[in-house]
Amino acid sequence: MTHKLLAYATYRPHYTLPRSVVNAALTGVARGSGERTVAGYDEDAVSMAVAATRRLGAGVRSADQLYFGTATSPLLDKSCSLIVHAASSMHDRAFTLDVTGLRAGFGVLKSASTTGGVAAMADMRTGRPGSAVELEGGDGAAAFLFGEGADAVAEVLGSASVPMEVMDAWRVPGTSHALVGEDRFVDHALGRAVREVVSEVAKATGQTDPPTTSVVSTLNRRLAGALAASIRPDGFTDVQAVHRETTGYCGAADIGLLLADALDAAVAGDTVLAVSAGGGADALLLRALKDGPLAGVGGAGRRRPPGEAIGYYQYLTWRGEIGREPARRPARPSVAPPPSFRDSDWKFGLVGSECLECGKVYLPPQRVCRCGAVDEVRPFPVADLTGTVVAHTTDGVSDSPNPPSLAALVDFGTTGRLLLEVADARPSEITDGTEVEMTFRRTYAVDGVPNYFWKARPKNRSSK
Amino acid sequence: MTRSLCDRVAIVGMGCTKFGELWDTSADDLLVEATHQAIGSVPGLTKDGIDAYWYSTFASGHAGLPLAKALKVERPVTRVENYCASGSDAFRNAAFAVAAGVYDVAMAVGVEKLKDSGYSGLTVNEPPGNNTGPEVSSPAIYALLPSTYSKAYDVAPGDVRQALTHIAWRNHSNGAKNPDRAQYTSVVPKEKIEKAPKVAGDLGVFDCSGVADGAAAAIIVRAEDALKYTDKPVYLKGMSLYAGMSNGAATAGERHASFPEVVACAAQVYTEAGITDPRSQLSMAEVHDCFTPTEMILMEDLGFSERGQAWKDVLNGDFDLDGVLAVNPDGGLKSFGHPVGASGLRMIFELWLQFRGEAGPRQLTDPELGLAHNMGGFPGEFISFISIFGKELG
Ligand SMILES: [Zn+2]
Repeated sequence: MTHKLLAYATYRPHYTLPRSVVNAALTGVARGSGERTVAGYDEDAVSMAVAATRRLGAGVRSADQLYFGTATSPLLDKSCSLIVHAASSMHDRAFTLDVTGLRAGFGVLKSASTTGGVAAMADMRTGRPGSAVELEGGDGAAAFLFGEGADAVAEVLGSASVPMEVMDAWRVPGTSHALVGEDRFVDHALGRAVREVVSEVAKATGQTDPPTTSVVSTLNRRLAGALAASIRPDGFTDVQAVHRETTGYCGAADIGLLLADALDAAVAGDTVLAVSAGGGADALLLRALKDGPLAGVGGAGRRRPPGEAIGYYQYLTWRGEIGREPARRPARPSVAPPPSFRDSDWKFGLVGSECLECGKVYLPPQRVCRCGAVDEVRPFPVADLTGTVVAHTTDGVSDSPNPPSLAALVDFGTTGRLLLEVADARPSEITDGTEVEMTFRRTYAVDGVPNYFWKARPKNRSSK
Repeated sequence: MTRSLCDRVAIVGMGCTKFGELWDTSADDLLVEATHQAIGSVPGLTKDGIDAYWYSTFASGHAGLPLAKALKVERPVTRVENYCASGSDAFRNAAFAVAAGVYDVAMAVGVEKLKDSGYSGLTVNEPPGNNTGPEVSSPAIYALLPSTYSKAYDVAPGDVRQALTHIAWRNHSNGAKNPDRAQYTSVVPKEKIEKAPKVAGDLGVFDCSGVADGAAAAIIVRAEDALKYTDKPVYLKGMSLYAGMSNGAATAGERHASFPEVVACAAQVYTEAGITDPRSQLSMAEVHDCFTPTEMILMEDLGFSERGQAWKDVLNGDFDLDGVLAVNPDGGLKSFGHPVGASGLRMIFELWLQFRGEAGPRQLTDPELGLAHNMGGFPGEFISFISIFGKELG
């Protein structure tokens, strides 16, 4: 059985890298159009998946499954879906699963549409400097909530798969550069797989008419466009073209971003065929039950709010391709598992406490209130609150790959305040009174092990 | 119920090393130097006459052993750590012990060797935690204060800036009169202060105190015994220490322009010492000028200025060496740098010199009562210590 799509959301990071900037740096000629998205230095697949998942709204909390798909998991062996689960404040009896590889995005969509629950996918594409992977890649996340409900936004009509053992894309463990097969061979193999999967999905669903919209996710932009057009020559929207021009191929999250954009552009009754072309092809056919846009601000087909374009040196530094002389500061503390375990609600959920006797809010939570009450508290969740900057400053001392660091004293309209690092902003973008939202970030890493906590960032910073 | 120690203990000897980048001097060297200076300042006193030690250091040693080993003493030695107020708390506990009659002579000695770390700020070795504290440096945390103060009292940011510049200028000017012990001994023109590179927000390098190496020591006896040791003892009139309960991180009052722990601390110590108008009754005050906005706000929290008026009083020169109430006559943290375990005792050392008429070019005219304020932590969670001393009993 399949479940209905109840909500969907995307997350595109604030920063972008114009392709002309890369080419200018490498060849001296500023050719190439558009830009790719770049995760902030304090973001990774987990933090971006959290951003997208939390945007699904309150329904996430009662979901019984969480499937997290990425090809760039920040930790191996450990299930990173558990971090997404904790940081999305899901209930504590949900099943969670990590799915890996570029096909993970389709994998989590299919799984969640089958069992119900959340499909979260996020990825970062890193290639050799100047490679197609780097230029055509992007970073981003998407999340989908499937379940039963009268208020569904789309229904799943069916899916089909044509698995194919083909060396079209791979990455060797321990390396950061994604590698791909030769174009013309990949065109041939994936072209055949997509033709077959389109035919299979028609058979499986009985939907013999071409879909209203089709989107195809694969690294090669030209191939992706050609395949989408071949499925529905007269119904090809600019969803995919805009995505490739302003975001780029986001690996395991790409199929989700494309599907969300297509649903944004759809009206009730439209069918949307989402095809993941890689290692063969997989396809999911949905019918919109509501008019879009439901997720993004501005919807697909229109450019998302402009982010901040960064330079190539900055990109290479954030990606670890170039070593940077750090500020002379003490080593950061390594991640101590027991305290993070004990304080999970605070660290991952950003849940403080509120005194039941006097209403005083404590961030982080406290057992004893200054009014004298002991253990008379209820949880006080902060992650979804809008805060107001009371005071702010640059910080030229703390080490940052994106100097200067910014800090803000944030008021939540309660008795509790937080001093927070500010993400995704230049000093001129923060003033007293600026509204900020909470954002889950990879604050630092020690010996490669990430530490996560929340920061503030200007509200409405990226498309939803 | 807190009882007063007014006129019950006295300082009869003190020592203080040069503060600075002391690459050729170890923490042990500093301890030897400060303690022997202190012992040497008391005619006829030897090491054997010290009954017990309170030894403060933030990060330059553990337990009482470094002091016992460096001085070769077999005596009770207690290590004290209370952030930047460590030196003050060593003094406080030594004073308690003497007042209780357990010991006749106690020494409080503080030391810190910070420069060896290679870092320009304080480094804290915290126990394993959940790592959710924001990575915001001390200068950045204090850089929030000029704007919150400005908003709280509707003072033009430019006026606040001028006051901060004046504080840096005055403390460095005072430090220039303290060449034997201060780390920085040059007068810094106001223009240079304002044009200095920014460290965080509006705070430039001259708005921030640096770190340093240094040590200071005090010998404490019961007040009635004081004249047996020196003809110029300095008497404790009151002391108070408050630890902030952290009412939610970074909540330093709604307007973030006052330090509640200091206000509470001041109220208690003034009661103990019988002070009703600190601005007119005190001759001098050593205060914790870790950053210039800290000192500006302290002027109000300590009751030297009306709320919202400190900036004006500062600019008026009220707290200059020749003002109504000299603040940081020795040059403060600005001139000395901040060897955490030693700073509290260094502040008291200036009171000691001033009351004894030994402050050289900084000497105030016949000071009677003085205050030392020393604190550690951050707005919202401070350790605040205040002590008041006088030249005479009664
Ligand atoms: Zn309460």
